[in-house]
Amino acid sequence: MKRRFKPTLSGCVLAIAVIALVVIGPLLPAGLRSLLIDIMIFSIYAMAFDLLFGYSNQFSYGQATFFGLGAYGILLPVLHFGVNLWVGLLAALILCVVFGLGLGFISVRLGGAYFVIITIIFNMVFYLLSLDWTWLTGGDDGLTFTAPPVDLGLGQFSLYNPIVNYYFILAFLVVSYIVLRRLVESPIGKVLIAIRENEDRASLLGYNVFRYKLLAFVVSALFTGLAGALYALRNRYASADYFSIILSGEPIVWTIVGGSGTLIGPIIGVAIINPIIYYVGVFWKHYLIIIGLLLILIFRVSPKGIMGVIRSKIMGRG
Amino acid sequence: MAENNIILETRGLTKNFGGLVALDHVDFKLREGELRAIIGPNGAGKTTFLNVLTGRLPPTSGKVFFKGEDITGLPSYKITRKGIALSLQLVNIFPELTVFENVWVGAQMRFKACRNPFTKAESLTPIRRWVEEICRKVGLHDKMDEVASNLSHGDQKLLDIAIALSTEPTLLLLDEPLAGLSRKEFAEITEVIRELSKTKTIILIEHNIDAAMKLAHKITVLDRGRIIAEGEPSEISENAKVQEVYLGRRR
Ligand SMILES: Nc1ncnc2c1ncn2[C@@H]1O[C@H](COP(=O)(O)OP(=O)(O)OP(=O)(O)O)[C@@H](O)[C@H]1O
Ligand SMILES: [Mg+2]
Repeated sequence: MKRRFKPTLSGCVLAIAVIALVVIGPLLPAGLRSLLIDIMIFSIYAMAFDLLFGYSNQFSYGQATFFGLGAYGILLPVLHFGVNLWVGLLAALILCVVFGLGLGFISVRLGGAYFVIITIIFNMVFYLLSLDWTWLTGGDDGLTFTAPPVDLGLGQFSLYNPIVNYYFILAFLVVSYIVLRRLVESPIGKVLIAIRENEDRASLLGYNVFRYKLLAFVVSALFTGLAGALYALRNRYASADYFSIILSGEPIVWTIVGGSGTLIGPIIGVAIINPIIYYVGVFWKHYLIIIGLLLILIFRVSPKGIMGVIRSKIMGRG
Repeated sequence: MAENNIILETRGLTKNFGGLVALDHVDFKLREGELRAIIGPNGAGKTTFLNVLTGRLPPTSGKVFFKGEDITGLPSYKITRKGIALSLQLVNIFPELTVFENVWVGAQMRFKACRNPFTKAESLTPIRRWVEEICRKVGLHDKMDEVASNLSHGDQKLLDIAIALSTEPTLLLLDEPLAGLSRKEFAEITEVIRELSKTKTIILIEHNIDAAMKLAHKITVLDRGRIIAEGEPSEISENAKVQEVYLGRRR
């Protein structure tokens, strides 16, 4: 059967990348492995943002709201009630879905420019509350907790073992990618793309645009929360900074660099930006200049990001 | 029971924009299978009429009935699902998607398989066949892989009609599909409309009175929001009032 939809980066390339990550995991120096773990966690965050912005054209500047909710959503139950890892993760995800529905209902309804503003406001509110409610969040200093072991039924693995931690995060990244990829290639994804391209026409075709946008918002909140929860687990710590508005800006940069509406592009964005911060940031505090220059370069060369280049040069389609 | 095959009816349909009366107590009836042209000078309220019918604008007063059911005030996506499709005056397509993808979006509406979030859209062969059939109907089947924004204006108009058809409507509303076309495109789209009218009920808004005369079974003339004449093409061309407000003004 002839393919009629735009090609995505072939599953084969991705499978090889995953196998490579599996193989090199234990061989890597600790610092690099740790960097990779960060990249993988933020890749989930980046894809979640891309679903919202790249697929349904909703530009949120407040995704850290859900990153923080996910982090505290797992930290607090584990800390106070000693729940196991899976219950903790579930609690975090449920929390994000509930808040995603609530905040999404308001911001998606208002839509357009209001959407951006409302998401910023929500983010600010959560940030300020988390600073203020130190009894709950630990405020600026944050809270530490003991990461519960990963219980797979056939034995327990400690997340304090960096290699376990690495595979644990990698597994979530792969699952997240597969779920989101299936979603955007499903009929629902086609409607989201249609809404992105021409909202009025999509609604003229009988689609309840609000409901689809809300769905994208909630799923994005869910995966953003997952990233937040994993980040808290990996650091065994969360603080008000997890709600920081700066953190809301990062997926925007990743997505612009990598190319929106591709899922893979934002991951490439993370994989380029974070090493710059990690390696250059430690000895040169003005490392943001490099990122700024990179953004300008991308805008000049390929407004559709790195994936735009790959698609037009290698796959012959823009 | 002649009333039985009335598919669309409006009663006292009125739309005001501030002080401007765009539609003024319009009573309109359309039979199933009819190809009706609505003509009238600029600003007569033709587009507004379609917008109110399809729920894109709420009426100030009056009612719209589709197949006997009161659909006044329903959101536009619900009205579409009842079987009314609209192709707007200005080309309204998904510019960055291919012709195939453009038609696909609406085609999904018809199939239950699409409610499963984890089916791969591409694997849904019945939808693909339906999309190909629609493209063939409007003559775009050899351009299915072209990106919509690269099409000629005439082909974009055809694509717009194809998108409207993709949801399999019973009533098709076309707002000036023939405006701004080359002679060849004009003939092409006229033929497509003629062909479609064999299976669908159509309201055709048209500026070009000759085209309306040739295509339509019946013509409604709108002026300043009011229906000033209605009848067979031959009656309309002889109607003094029409000649005055419409034909007269044009010359
Ligand atoms: N959204 C709106 N807000 C305010 N006034 C409007 C709006 N839409 C239409 N009008 C006014 O209502 C009147 C009818 O406009 P409409 O677009 O329905 O005319 P038309 O018959 O389709 O004209 P044309 O042949 O130019 O397409 C015009 O005077 C127009 O300026
Ligand atoms: Mg008009």
